[in-house]
Amino acid sequence: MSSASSPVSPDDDQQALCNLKSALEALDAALVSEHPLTGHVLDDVRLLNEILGRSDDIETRLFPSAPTPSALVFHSSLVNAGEIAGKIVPAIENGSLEKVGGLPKEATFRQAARDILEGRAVLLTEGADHALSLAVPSRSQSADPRTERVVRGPRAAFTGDLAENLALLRQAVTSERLRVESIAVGGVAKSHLALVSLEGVTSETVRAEFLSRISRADLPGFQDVTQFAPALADDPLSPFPNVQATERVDTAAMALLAGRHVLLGHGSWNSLIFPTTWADLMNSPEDEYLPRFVATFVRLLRYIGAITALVLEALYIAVTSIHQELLPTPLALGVARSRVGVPLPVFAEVILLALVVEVLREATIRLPSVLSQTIAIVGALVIGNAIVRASLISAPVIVVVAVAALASFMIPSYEAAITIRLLRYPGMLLSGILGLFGLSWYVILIIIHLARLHSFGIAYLSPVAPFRKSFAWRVLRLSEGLSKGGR
Amino acid sequence: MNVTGALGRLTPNQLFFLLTVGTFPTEMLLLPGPLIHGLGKDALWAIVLGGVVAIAPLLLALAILRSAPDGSIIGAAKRIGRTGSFFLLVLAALLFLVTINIWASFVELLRVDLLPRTAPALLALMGLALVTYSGSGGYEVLGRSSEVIGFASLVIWVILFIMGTPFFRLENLLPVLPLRFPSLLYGVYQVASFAGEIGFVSLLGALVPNRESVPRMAVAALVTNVAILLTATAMPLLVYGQEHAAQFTLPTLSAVRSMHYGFTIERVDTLIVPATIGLVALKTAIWGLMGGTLLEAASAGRLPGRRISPVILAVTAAVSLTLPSIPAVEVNVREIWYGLSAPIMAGTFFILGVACAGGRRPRTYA
Repeated sequence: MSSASSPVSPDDDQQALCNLKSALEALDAALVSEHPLTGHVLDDVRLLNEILGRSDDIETRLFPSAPTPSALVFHSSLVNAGEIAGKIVPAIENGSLEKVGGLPKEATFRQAARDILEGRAVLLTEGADHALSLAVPSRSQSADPRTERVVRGPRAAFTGDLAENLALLRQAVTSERLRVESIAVGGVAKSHLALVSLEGVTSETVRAEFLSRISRADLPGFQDVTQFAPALADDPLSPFPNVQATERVDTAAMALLAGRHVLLGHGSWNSLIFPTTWADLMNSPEDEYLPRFVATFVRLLRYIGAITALVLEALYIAVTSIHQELLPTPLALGVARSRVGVPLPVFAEVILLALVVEVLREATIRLPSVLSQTIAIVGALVIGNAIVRASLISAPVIVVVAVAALASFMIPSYEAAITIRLLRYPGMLLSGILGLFGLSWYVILIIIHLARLHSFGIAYLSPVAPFRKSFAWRVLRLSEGLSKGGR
Repeated sequence: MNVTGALGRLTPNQLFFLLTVGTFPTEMLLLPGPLIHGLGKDALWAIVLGGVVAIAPLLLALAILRSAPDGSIIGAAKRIGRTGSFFLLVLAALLFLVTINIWASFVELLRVDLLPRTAPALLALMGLALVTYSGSGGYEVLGRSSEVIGFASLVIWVILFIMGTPFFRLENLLPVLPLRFPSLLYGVYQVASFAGEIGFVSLLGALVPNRESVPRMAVAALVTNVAILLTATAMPLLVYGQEHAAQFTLPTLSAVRSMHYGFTIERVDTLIVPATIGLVALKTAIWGLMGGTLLEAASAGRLPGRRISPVILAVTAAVSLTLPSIPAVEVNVREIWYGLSAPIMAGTFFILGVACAGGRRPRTYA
């Protein structure tokens, strides 16, 4: 592990100090929040900003020369800036606010802050003991998720607009503790990233480490935040994803609530979530919307699917070509019969068919969506049938490779699924040469590698190793995780 | 043995598995053979009594850990002076020797009993790659690996035992009494000496921030180990009976191998392969690292590092060069190396105990 990517050492004392500081700040903010407005614009703006925290998307506009000196406070990511500039600002300057319409009066800082978080603009006026809450059309327009579909749950996905994405996230996590930090990156083409965190919930140590790593990222420009994944990885040479990419707003929102940071980027349809463990990559947002035991069952199925995708083909190679004594006689005879006339060894059969499946998979991604399903089915049926008739590959191999391919689709994370697909091939090779010893050695090597990995100082195998009580809701779903403080 | 700053921390759960994985392969495969051969079904009583006796070295290790200044064995070792450091150095060298031999025995086991068609040199090299990869990550990585591989191996063992139940014949264990006392005591000694390993590894409790949990975990590991050895010894006795079981070198493996199921899988003995590879690799890495920590302790005790390193390197290189020839040695000769572990533990305990009790203050140590 290079020094540039060394994990953050999780110092409990420092973390406790940070938590205490956050708690005190939160207490201060809570005490202030119950106060009525003072009637002095500048004081009210300062106190309101204290409650809302240091966030780059909170905008304050002062109108000292208006008929009554005023200030307008709003979340630039939540409201339509054109509406503010075109209608509200002239109305304030002209003193004709009655044209804006819908003006509930808010008497305390808490009420004013809540309105801002819900996407309204709040107008503070000199001498007034209440604020005016102005309805502004929302700017957020979500897209439909394309690669992370679910049956139950929200359908919102990030768009290519950073401000819209922030608005979507703010709508999903309505909290005055949500912080947005804007970061300019790109050596040639400057563009902006937005680091979203939840004060008192997300780790300050992780944030500092992120800022350090992102400052070292050497990109001339970026089109998608996923380009930063290697720069953010603790071990860039590992095939396992160290950060989680998602297009779903609810996944990012739940990650924030669980104490993880979210990175959004200008023009990016994805977000990056970190720290990321293997358990995070195996969880689907849908799990939260299903009954507890059903979700647990589905999660266990996913783990079985991942293991099947990784080892099934290699296991078939080992038991049919080296350890035939492990198969019961009828099964061994059946496999032998199916291989009559097949000129290739089992190892070559499996590798060949696995590559054909990869070709089909890659081809269907490039095809127009209306054609891709048809081509995939026709391709699989025609090629599968022809390949068996031509005695190039035996029928059991088709079953094994197809089941492994299907099992890989059970992994919710696209990056994790690709990793598993990639890692199948060395397993097949070792099984073909060394049988079960090779396969066992390979699986143990992967386990040790996973045990060595960290993501921003968090053990990658957590909460399995080191074992944590959060295993009950992060790996299984036998309890309500978010209500217990996330991670 | 306070290496926490450099090598991270362990959770109590990880300590439990580090204590368990080291002895698991010995208990599962190697120890039931000599026990059944010498004691027949009395071996089960010997295991229980041996487990009770093994509490003594465990308590001794825990006492050393508790009385070490600042919880640091290395800190304590600074008190022992040149002579004590020299003996600690010898023990470290012996530990490396035993570690290498464990690996050689494992290669032999794989070559002869599990994977007869695979080249032993390849098995050794690939296995050592695993050991190096896991050990180079330090105790923290070993702890996490042990949690996963140790738990998986326990599950595999439970599955094997449950799958064996249709082949068990309870009458093979009858009559339970009378016991043959002299041989029973010999069995107790064998069990207790291997359990001393648990005491030795429990010195890693210095890496657990929550020290109160260390004794609990050490006792839990001892109970688990005794349970594994009990089931591993009972299985061949239940399947074959004591006369027949005593004929096998590896009776547990033979018992598992004789269980034919005939549905989706014919035999389940190959499940032992991944468990054994993982466990032995971890055990070797743990012992290797602990040898390194002893070196560090010896170095702290007034033997300058520049003098220690060449000695250890020379000894290790000499032993490593003989590694390829070790699998060819007769099994009974190689078993001598297992016996070495007991005096190593005793010597280490003695020196560390002296260190923790105050020792002889070195003249120039400030």
